[in-house]
Amino acid sequence: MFPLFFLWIENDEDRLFLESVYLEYSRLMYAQALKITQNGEEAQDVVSDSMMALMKKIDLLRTLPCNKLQAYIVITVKHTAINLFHRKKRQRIDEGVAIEDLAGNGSVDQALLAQAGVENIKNAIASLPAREKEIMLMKYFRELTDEEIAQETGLRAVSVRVHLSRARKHLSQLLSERREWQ
Amino acid sequence: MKHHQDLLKEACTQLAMEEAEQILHDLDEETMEQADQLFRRHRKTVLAMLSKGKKSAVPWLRAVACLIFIIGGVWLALTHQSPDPVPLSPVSTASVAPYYSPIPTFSPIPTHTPAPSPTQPPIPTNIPTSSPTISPIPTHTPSPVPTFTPLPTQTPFTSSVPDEWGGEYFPSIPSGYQLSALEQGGNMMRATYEAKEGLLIFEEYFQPTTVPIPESAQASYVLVNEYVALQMAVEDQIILCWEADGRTIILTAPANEAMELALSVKKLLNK
Repeated sequence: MFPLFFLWIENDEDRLFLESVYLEYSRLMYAQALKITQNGEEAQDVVSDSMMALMKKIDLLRTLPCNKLQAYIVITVKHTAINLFHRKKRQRIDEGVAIEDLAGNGSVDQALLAQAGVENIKNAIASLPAREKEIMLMKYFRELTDEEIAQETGLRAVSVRVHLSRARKHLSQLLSERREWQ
Repeated sequence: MKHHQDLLKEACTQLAMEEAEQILHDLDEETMEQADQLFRRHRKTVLAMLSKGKKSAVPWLRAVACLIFIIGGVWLALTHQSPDPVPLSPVSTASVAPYYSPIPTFSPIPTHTPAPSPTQPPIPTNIPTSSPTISPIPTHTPSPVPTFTPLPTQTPFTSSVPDEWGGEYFPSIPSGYQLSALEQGGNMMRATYEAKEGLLIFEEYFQPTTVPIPESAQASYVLVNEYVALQMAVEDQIILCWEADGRTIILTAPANEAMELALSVKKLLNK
């Protein structure tokens, strides 16, 4: 019987936690959503969708320190706004994505990553094409699963894997080209 | 492989944090003001959504838990039934014995026995010697007359409120604070207190008022009782302002005490 009570308490605590997150960061969320969408109604939709996305990751959010939490929220709002924009404009960016892109695992050479170090990897990710960079951040910063990324972006799960695979391949290429750090 | 994932995670985290900082840096004051308006329009929808979203996941669990409780309660009642100390129907003396003292039989008035000699200690006896007149019909002993106790009424919140205070709200002032000024404007009242912790300023505007946000302030929203308040952190002071019944309350206090003070703000009943 007791676990049920814990579930209730946790649930209410979750609600209170999310409310406090919303109240504390609402200004930033609305401002950022407005900046991207340039439309009040759409900005409200973006904030609502962002809150739903945050709700799914509440266990992770609870573990984040304040500055990282703020960054997580800001990046979530940005991704939500961009995804909304893509959906509204019917820009299905997975069009033309070929399944054969998955051939070759698209993994980054481990030795290359280790040699490059965090700073160089960060710079290389920053210079990836916008969509690949977003999906990398969704995967490795927001810790979304492929299915969650698919749900958020409106892509098919297989397309998400293709984008991730491409992103890793590009990352490898970029790191190989910038061998000056060696 | 794990190390490789960790490197990617760390790089993405650093990139995300830099990007977030840049985004925040680029937000201009005009957008922030528009954001405030959007927040006021939209907050109820989002708060309702959060509340609904989280609760909708468990209603069946609540029902199941209630059912388990009822079944558990019935089961406990049936299996752990304690013996009834007062049986309703007369049973054998033996079974009653542990719970009842034998009913004293009616005896004639005892004859007076001479007092024992002082050298002999009195023999203790269970038979009460001072009850020579036990009547079979119990005499009615009046129960004490109940005294009328009025129900507790809500006591007006007046502690530490200056006599000249013309507003409808006031906080509970902690010890150590001394009233240093009480000012009245056309549509506002302001009480200023001083303590070694810093200044405490409580202002009440009698109508909704626009509150300017200092440039260096870090602004956010918090819940103060049932009101959404704008919280601004300026150095070691916190400014909290919210609207209550068409009035604007502004509380400026040391950072470590501001929220407690805000929560203590109550409507004065005698106003």
